[in-house]
Amino acid sequence: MNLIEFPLLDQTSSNSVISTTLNDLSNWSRLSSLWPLLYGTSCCFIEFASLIGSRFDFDRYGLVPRSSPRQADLILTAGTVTMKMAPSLVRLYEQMPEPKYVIAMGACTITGGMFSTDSYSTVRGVDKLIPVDVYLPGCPPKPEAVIDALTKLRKKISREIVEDRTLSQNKKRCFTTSHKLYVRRSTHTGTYEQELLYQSPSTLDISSETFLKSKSPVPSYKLVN
Amino acid sequence: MFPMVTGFMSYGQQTIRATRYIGQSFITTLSHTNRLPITIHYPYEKSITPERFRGRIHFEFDKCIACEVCVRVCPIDLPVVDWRFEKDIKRKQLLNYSIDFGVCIFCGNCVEYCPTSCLSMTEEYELSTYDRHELNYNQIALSRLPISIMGDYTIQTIRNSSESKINEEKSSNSRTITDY
Repeated sequence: MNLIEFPLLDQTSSNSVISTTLNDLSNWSRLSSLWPLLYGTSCCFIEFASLIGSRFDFDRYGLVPRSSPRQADLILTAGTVTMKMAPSLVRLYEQMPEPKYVIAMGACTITGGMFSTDSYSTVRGVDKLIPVDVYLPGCPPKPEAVIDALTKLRKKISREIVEDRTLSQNKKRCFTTSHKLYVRRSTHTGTYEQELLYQSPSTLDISSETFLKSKSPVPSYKLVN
Repeated sequence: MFPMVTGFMSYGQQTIRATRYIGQSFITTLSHTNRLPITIHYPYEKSITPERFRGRIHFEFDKCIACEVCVRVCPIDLPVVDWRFEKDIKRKQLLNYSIDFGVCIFCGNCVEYCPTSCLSMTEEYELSTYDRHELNYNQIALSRLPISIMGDYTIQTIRNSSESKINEEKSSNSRTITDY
């Protein structure tokens, strides 16, 4: 039923035999060790957790659940993503190393599901935040359906061409163009108190100001950090 | 001499107790060697879905009378019923019908309340796609019959173990086993 035209196939692939086999080898190694991030926010994670167990053992596919996003290749967004959870999800996604894949699991993460009409806090579809490779409907989907989505993702990975991977990931975003995330210093470092303390002696008499300057050549906020 | 004898006796008792405990635990462990592995090798073996499993919704276009009960009953007003009133036959003519399975929560209310029973639940659950707009099924996609797992001879079907256990219990009626 789901006959999909792969857009990556239309693009120019390399003609050399050696490079294509290397490409296939890298794709094969990548698809047979997809390590998912152990991420779940609500009821879909129960179905996802039953995959880890012995009945629907997903270690057969080389999926070892990782608790750190730095070691994960795949994130199954299991469960409703609220607007409060959304920055954390984007952060987790950005922390994952580069060949990374997303499966939107459940109706809540595809379109918002039953919260799509009148909720004030649900993100309507996780593809507004991060690029999604495979959409897996169900509320929640069966564990077998999750394995089916994984096989479809493996099929997608096996047909990838190395140069086009980053391009295709940027194209998939539905409504937003691209997240230009830049790391900001956290506001809760406590340095603002230090700055207040540092500014207050300037309003006082000059002698203490000069005393502070002579005592500490390094500014006090640098000492804190 | 007397305390030495009691010491030996207590030591012997402790040894016997320790052996018994180890033996008990080994019996528990070794009893699992008699069991078959319970892993379902999914694409080759599929467990039979329960009788009232709520999978993809099947829709019959000819039966539908465009009453929109399914829309009213749906928690999120999901089915799109497109109809036109025909004045000459004084009846509503159904034009289009679609359900978006990216939004559907498979609650089965529409199937429950459909007056002409043109909606029904199938056992199809492999619906994942690469594009979320493909999940919006129109009446043609909805009227497609699912491929039965039982008919496919390349796939080995596995009876749900809990169901068979329940049936055994009903027949033997020995004692209740809650785990499976």
